[in-house]
Amino acid sequence: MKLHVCCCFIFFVALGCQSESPKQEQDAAVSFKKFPLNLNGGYRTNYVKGEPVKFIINQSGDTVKTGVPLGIKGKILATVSSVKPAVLKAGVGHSEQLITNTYLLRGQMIEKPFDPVLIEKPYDSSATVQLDIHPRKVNFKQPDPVKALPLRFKDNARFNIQYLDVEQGLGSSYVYSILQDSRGRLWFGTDGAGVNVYDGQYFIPYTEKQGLTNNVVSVVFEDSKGKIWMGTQHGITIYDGKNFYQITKEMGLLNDEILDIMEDGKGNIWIATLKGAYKLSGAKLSIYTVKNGLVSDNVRAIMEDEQGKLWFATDRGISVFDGQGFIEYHKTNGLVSDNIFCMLKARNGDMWFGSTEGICSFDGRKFRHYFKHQGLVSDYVWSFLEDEKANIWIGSYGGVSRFDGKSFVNFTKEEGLSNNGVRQLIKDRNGNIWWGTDGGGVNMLRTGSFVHMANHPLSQRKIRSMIQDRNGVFWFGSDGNGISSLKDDKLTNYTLADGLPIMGGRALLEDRKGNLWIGYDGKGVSKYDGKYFTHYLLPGGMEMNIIRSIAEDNSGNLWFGTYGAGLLKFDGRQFLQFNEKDGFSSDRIISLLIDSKGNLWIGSEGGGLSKYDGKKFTHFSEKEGLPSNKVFSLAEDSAGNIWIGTAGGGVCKFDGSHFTYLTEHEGLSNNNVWSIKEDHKGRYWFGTDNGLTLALPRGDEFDLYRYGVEDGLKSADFNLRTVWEDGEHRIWWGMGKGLSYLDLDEFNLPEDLLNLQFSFLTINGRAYDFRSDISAREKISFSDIPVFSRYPLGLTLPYNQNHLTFHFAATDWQAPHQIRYSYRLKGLDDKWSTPSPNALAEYRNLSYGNYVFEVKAMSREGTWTTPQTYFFRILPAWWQTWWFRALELLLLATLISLFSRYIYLNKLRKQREAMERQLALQYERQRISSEMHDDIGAGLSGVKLMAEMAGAKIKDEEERNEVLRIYQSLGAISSRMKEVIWSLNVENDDLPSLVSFIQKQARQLMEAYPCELTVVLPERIPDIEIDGESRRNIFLLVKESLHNIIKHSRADKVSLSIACSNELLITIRDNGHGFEYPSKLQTGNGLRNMKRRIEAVHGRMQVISDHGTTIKLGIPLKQYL
Amino acid sequence: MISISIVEDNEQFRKALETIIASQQDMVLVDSYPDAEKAVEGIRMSAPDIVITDLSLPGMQGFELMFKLRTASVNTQFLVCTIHDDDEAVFEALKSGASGYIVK
Repeated sequence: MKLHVCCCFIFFVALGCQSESPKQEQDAAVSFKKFPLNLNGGYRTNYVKGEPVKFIINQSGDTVKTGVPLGIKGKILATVSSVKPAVLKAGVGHSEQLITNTYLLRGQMIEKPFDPVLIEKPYDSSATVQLDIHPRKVNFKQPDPVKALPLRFKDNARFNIQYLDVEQGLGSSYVYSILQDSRGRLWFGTDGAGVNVYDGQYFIPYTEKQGLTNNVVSVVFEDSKGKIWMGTQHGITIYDGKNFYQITKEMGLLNDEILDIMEDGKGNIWIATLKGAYKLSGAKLSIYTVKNGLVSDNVRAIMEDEQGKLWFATDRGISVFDGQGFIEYHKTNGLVSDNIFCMLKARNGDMWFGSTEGICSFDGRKFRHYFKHQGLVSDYVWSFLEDEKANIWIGSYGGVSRFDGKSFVNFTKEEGLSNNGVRQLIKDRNGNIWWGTDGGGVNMLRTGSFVHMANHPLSQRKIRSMIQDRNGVFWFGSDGNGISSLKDDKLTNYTLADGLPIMGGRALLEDRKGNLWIGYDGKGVSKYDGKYFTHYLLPGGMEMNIIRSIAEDNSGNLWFGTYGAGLLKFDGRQFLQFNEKDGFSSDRIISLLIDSKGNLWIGSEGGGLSKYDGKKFTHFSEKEGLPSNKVFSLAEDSAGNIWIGTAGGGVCKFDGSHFTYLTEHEGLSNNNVWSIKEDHKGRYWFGTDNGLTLALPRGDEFDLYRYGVEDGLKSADFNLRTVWEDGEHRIWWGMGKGLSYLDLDEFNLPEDLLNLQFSFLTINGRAYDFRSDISAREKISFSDIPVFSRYPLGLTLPYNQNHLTFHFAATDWQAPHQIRYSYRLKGLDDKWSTPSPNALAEYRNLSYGNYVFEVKAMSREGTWTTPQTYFFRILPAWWQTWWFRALELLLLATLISLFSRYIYLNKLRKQREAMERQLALQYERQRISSEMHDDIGAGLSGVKLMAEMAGAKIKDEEERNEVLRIYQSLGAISSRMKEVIWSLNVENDDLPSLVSFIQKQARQLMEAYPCELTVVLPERIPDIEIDGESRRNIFLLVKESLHNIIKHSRADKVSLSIACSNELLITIRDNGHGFEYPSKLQTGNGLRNMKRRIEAVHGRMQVISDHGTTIKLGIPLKQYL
Repeated sequence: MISISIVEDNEQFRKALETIIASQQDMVLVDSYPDAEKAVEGIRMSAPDIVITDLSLPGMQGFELMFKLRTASVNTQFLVCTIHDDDEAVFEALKSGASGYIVK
């Protein structure tokens, strides 16, 4: 057994530490907690904080009564006449036009009617050069992936424009072409660094080293078969997902500088070069030049229209080829320029042409020209793109323009571009616009995202308050910049010079008369009627004049919330004060709200929420169900619910009877909620200390979306109540730095477009290219590798290639930073890993066996993709194989068997030796008994006989008696000896012999006495072996008993009965006068001997003395079996 | 006169028997043998009236002795004198032709 344990231990050591198991955990389904308003008893524990609810304690240390209406009477603080407000004539402020990127089409519209005098040239097919092209397969080896760092914003970015450049791992800052392939990955054709394939996690750089014909890549194109065509400064490289194939000048091309590649409806590939257009039809290459009718050999772009006509853009105008002949369009026909670089066929049928001298559209009848002076970002245009809203996007040397038919929205470095030299524009599946730049890497513009205030001093200020007045003018109060108004990009700033008492404004309100009320930090409140500022500085010091909120009730009373002096009511004549001393919950008022029923709601710091119905105040605290007693923001939604934004308790909806909590636990960005806004679509926006949360109502619950700086926010901290939705469906927020807005008409909720794919696999730290790596084939086997994949099918690894890292990537450009991955390795652990942003899974020391790796990705919306699975196998080492294990077991079994046999034989030998000793002993006993019997016994008999004879001869009586005593002694010795011989003789070693001997000896003994002996024997005596010692003890017990009877009892009747069952029961009964027992037993030698003997045979002895004596001897027979 | 032969290997007992027989008027001791083989020869020659024999004898058992002498048509009576007092021995002795049986 020990040996077996030892072997097991060796096995474990050999197997070693098998794996590291990733932490396993799954997201629990979010449920929104709903707490009834508790006015009886109240809650004891705060759900959000997980601690006992806080009661409201006022400055005097008393607990404020909550949950019950309280009749708090305010006291008159001051009257208008006592305040003596200062009236100042308002200045006009300082106005300036904000720099904007929107330009209404301006200047004279240039329209040129189409001059129908067209140059038509017949197609001269005889001049077409025909070549047989057999692309050359090159030794291709996958490069090592380069880790891609996240997309970044330029500091001044006004729009959600992010960039990828060399600092994030891109091969070059000059990116001439972009492609999103059918698998969702982006291909960047660079100047000098070949093609970089990007999946959000890594760049795969394909360069001349891998077999690219040249590292300057002007076009990347995916054909209908999924092959990637890479057109370079010198030749074309085709990648079919497995190998690279080159088409080079040596094959007969007139020129190998490639400018465009496209596929026509017939499956022909057209290639634009500096010397003609090439059509590749299978292996046949046809070259089209001026010789057979093309307008110029310098072809920049090729396009096919619905009729199957091919449009060639050249440095000398446009050629349109219908298979029969060419038609030319020139500047003389109305084209904006003859030097055309790009073309677009819009969905409305218009053709667009981009040149070095502006752009034009052509509807078949007339050309419309657009230039920089009309709003176009630049006249030097490289590319076009049309979006789903039919906007035309123009990529130029001056940035990007978006044209909706009326105005240009321009994106330049001012808006956040990394470079204004924009080459190719593409739109990804999420609707983002990507472009490559000349020196700034790649840019991605997320449309429908946050827009920030133009580069203006105000954009660096903290915006404290915000309203839009009845004229559509925005008013802001900012820290240090006074009050500003904004309309139509005209910003007017009011400062001390214009009549402000301080360079800030913490609270703003437009009253029903159209007056603007401004609350200050320490300077009371002002009324601005457009002409005059009326300043009210209230008595009671600083605290009385820190105004954080203003509200107007349905009766026209104004309510001011002070930070330190409670609530003020102003009816136009006098100020009434409600503070803690009067029973109000707190003197630090943060928010005021008049609901649609006319109730005043008051949120305070530490005093919870209070409701004033015009007569009485009711305070609500954590005890009644509020998530926190620090209430910062208040809002009423369209359904009449009161929304309460708190510090530390998230936000909650109060419908009058229940509080519904939205906290970090449910997915809120942060538990400090500073602003609440319900938009015109009934969605809720919460500004927090850590970004913005959008809540989409879904029944009683909500879908939450979080937005942070990665999503285009300028900063993540939102300010108190500074939120407004304007009439153009834009939500404005006052931020830690400036203003931001979101155009809700442009804004789209993210779609589930996650495309999860395996990218590459490393084994023992090495990213193998299984197709070309010969050394990989030596150790690793697999059946096939799917195209464009680096994960071979049926991967089988040797035992020591067991450190695997799976790399995967979900391509989604909506919120790549919010993608979460979860994975598991079946065969090791069936539990999914904790969702994490890391797009890799590492397993070390995998044991041999079959495995299934599964990974899934979760989008921002919280939906998981279907898991991607990958099967592989690790072979056992020779010492782990079944045959070795079998051999090992066999060896073990043999060892155990030999060992057992050794033990068995040893035991057997010992048994035999013991038996031999026993036999020898028995033989010795037998011999002794026999000799005693035959020699000594016979001799004794002889001596006894002689003594008897001698006695008979002696006449003298005394002498004769002496001889007679000798004779009697000899008789006694002889008798004793017989007993000894009997007990020694092994032939008597059984129960029948014992019983027989007892009854015989009993009879002989009793013969000499006048006593009648009755013997009762059992019918059947079991043939049980009893050793000589025991026999002697049992026999002597009976003999002693009989002797006692003879000596002491004076009985004339004795019965000896022997019975056999589980024990040998011997009963000796006499009818004598009995004797005292056990006293005799203890004193008399005879009985003491009997006791010793009965103990020696593990038996029991019972003596009953009643009209005679009965001795019962019970000897268990079990011990002899 | 009754002629008697003794076959007894125990010297004390043989001597005791010889003494008893010599003391008897009507008995004459023909011979006494310590072992059975010599006894068979001697008794065949002398043919005494009675042979007193032990059962346990060196060389030959008393039963065999009795059997050999009877088959040699020696007309003599056998008296077994032995230390064996078990029924089996008595029965066997009588079966072998013993006329009497004495326990020593």
